[in-house]
Amino acid sequence: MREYKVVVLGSGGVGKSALTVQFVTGTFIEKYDPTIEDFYRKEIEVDSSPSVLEILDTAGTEQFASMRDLYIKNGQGFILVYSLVNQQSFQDIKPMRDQIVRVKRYEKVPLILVGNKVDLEPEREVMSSEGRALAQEWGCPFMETSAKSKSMVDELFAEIVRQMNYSSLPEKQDQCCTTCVVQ
Amino acid sequence: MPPYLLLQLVCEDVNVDRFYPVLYPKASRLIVTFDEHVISNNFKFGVIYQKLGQTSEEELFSTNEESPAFVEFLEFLGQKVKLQDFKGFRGGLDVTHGQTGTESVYCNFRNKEIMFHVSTKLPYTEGDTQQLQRKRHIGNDIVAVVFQDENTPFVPDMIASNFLHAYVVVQAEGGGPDGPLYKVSVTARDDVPFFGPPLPDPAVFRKGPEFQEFLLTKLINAEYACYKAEKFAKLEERTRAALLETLYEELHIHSQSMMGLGGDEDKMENGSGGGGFFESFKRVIRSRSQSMDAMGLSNKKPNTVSTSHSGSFTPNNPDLAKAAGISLIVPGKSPTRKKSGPFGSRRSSAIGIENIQEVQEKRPGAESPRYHVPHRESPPAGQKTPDSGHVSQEPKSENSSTQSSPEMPTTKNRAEAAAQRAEVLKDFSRSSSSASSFASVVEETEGVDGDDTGLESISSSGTPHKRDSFIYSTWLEDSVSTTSGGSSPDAGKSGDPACPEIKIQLEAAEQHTSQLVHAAPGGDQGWRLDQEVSPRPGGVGLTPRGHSQ
Repeated sequence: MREYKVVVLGSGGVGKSALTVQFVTGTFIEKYDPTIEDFYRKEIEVDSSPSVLEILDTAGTEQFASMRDLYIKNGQGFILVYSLVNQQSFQDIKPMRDQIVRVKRYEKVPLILVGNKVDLEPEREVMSSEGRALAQEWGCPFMETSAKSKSMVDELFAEIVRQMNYSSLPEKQDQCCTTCVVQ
Repeated sequence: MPPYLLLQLVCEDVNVDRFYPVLYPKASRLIVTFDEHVISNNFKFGVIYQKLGQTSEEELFSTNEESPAFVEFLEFLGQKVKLQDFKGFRGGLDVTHGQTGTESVYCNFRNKEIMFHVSTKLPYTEGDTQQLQRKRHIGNDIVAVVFQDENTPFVPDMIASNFLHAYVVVQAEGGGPDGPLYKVSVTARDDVPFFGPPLPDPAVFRKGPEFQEFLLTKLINAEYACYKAEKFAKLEERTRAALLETLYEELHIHSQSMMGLGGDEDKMENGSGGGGFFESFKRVIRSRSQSMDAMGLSNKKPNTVSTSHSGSFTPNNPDLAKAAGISLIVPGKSPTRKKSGPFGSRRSSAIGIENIQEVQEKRPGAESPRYHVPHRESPPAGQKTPDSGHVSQEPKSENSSTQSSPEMPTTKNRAEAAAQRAEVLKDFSRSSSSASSFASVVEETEGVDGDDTGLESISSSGTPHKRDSFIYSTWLEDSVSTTSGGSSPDAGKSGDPACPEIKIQLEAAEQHTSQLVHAAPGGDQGWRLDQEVSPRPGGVGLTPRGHSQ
């Protein structure tokens, strides 16, 4: 069975742990308990191909910059989560994607943009069109999920596996991206 | 002395018998970046307002109004700042869209920026019992201040967070005309080491700069101590190991490409015909000398290279310079060295100092630096002092090399080396650095003929996976002196106006001899109470005055 290393990133309180735990155990964590770092393994079957997902649930705080570099270096696929009831969390993920590209030195990293808490529709601050536009700019899939109602959670993790399968090794000329700076 | 022995002087556990030169101009910068990745001058602390009778997380975070005593405390804690377009350290708060409130409390303390996440100033969400917009900031802080108007027990476990490891509980007491009084209590998780400054007995402070100094120092030290707790220490250790691995790989790759030993792509990048930097350099020199010969300009002896010094190279006090054992290299200077004593053509110094700060001031018309170095008792024999004046250097022949890969010593040599190490270790006073788990040796390598190569070699004593160790040979750039984050009390002063100075300040952490009174909080699992006042049952409560132990 092929193993996939997935890193879940996003600012504090957006539902990174809730999404991960909902996917792994099928339960929703009601109480917010800020995560430092949690690791989960789950066997899934995507497109009739069995695989093992190793999911790293990370801290939302920007305190440990070198630690995040390490997560990115070791990760294969990335789930960037924001809360659609919090505009600031949407702004916070943009530098995270830049960091991924900088560390990986490659633009086409397997990545999914996720707007969580779709169950709180009346309190929405980030429109679907905004999320879709950003995903289009990055050239990655976009999803809106709810860890509480388990909406699109399984689909999210299945999609990141597909993304990792699709991303073959970069061609030599594609290796260096536009964000590289030669000093 | 062979390099592996120098390495063992610093760290006996390391068993390295081969060294490879690191030939990359930016190596020293990479090493410093690695060593300083934990250093930060920015801090964020939570401030929780606890009203009388509040005993749950939901109650704490749902408070909106601020009492006059709390407002006064916040004004004393730092300055109220508007978050919109705020230019200082934002501590994760939104300074563009106003999503995290309009104002906060900020403080610049000893060149350290502190942003406080004040519970009452963060956005309040109607209908949200958890007040996520508040907890997402305070819950991700490692240390928090809890302010109480009146005596209410505070139980650390009532706030669910993997991050929060220490609380400083401040309770307002009625003060006189000199200002209010504050009673202080400190609690931290069991695995957080004790941190200063110690609380006085009784732990009551009057509002003023002295209390502010105490409180901010306590908060910063609390955060540093919390990083040593199991949860954070494991992550730090793993991150550091991975960063060291990355550093090794990066230096190895760059050195290989400089030597022209990398892949074909590297060779093409480094020189038109390949062969890396050195081959390119040789080609340039060869073509230049040929063109000089053609023009009839070359009238020097074929085997000598002459270098001159525009200024004299005299330490302020030669004995001090000898005693310090600190290798300082000045760009553009290439002095010869007297060979004497058992160290022959090498000089070494053990660096295990908490804080080393170099300040180099450049003044017009002065080129020779003066060294101010602390005196050490019983300097190692045979330290070399640099000579001044013109130096003729013999270039090395093609087959000569510096002994960077020495053979392993015989048993007799080992015994001598052990005795030598024991002797030298007496002379080196070492202190462990909290910022770095790796001591390092600074060594000036010299050629077989005694010429100064101008290369500074640093060997890191910790290598991942027992790999062969590097000697990090760094090329000196124009600006060798760097100023570290700390401020030197006499950085601007000068002993002699005619000479620039390189000052190396060695700061040792003060050790407080006074003991903290340890009291176990009733009913709290995994939390330890550091306070001089007796706890109330059920939590880290602050008892009224007069009940202190």
